[in-house]
Amino acid sequence: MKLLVTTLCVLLSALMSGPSEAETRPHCNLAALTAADKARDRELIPVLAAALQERKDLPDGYAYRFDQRVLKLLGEWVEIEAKCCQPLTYEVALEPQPGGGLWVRITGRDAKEFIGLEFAPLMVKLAAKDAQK
Amino acid sequence: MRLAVTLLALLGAGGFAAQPAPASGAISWRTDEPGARAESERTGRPLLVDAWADWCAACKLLERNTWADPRVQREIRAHFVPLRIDLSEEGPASEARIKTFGLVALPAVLVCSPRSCDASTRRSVGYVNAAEMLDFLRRSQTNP
Repeated sequence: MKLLVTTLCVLLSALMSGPSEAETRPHCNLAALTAADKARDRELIPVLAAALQERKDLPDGYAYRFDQRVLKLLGEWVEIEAKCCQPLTYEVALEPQPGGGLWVRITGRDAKEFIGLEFAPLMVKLAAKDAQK
Repeated sequence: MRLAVTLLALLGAGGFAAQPAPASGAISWRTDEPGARAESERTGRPLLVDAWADWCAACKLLERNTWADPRVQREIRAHFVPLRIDLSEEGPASEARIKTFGLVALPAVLVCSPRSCDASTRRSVGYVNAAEMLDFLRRSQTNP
């Protein structure tokens, strides 16, 4: 009986405790990425920046539209970023083909400024194009 | 009598004006850990450790919004010895510090005594705004 009560208490406390404060705040996970992940991230950023066509504001983040030919690379990059930059939601959407857009929507509670800063390297070429207009 | 009152008022005003004005401006982060520990020991003020990296966007946000807030700056100047730990470069030195301070995520802000700063140290992890940081700093003083 005592064991049952103890087990129930442990289960209840586990169920009632939500994520810690730190887990709900924008942060960069130190241990998440291997050296290979970091190297691959550095390779992917310029490729994706070149394929970025548009960025749209969302209430809690941004939507980035890419050339659909980088779908696989985008998936690989999202997998790396999602391990490090937390707690954000990444949604990849491919509109009807051929011709539909490839979008990644990155959102998070009170994290819009964080997202804008974190993914600023993607914007380099798009910002340069806008400046030329 | 009127002259005396005026003189007293002037002296009073002068005395008030002679109080040191609250310092202002950016936080003077120390980067030499032994020096910061020595200052902490000498002054009795705890170390405030800001663990950051140049690739960490949340650290940049902390710099831009939180450390730039005059209320936070005043609180730190008055009660802490600020020490910045740069983990931008990968390698044994950064790894050793990550292990020593028990860091799992950035930014991390730790309040330490000069002799003890490890994984059990009180800390704030992740980006927090100025009001949240002030609350953390004040709670760290009242409940070290």
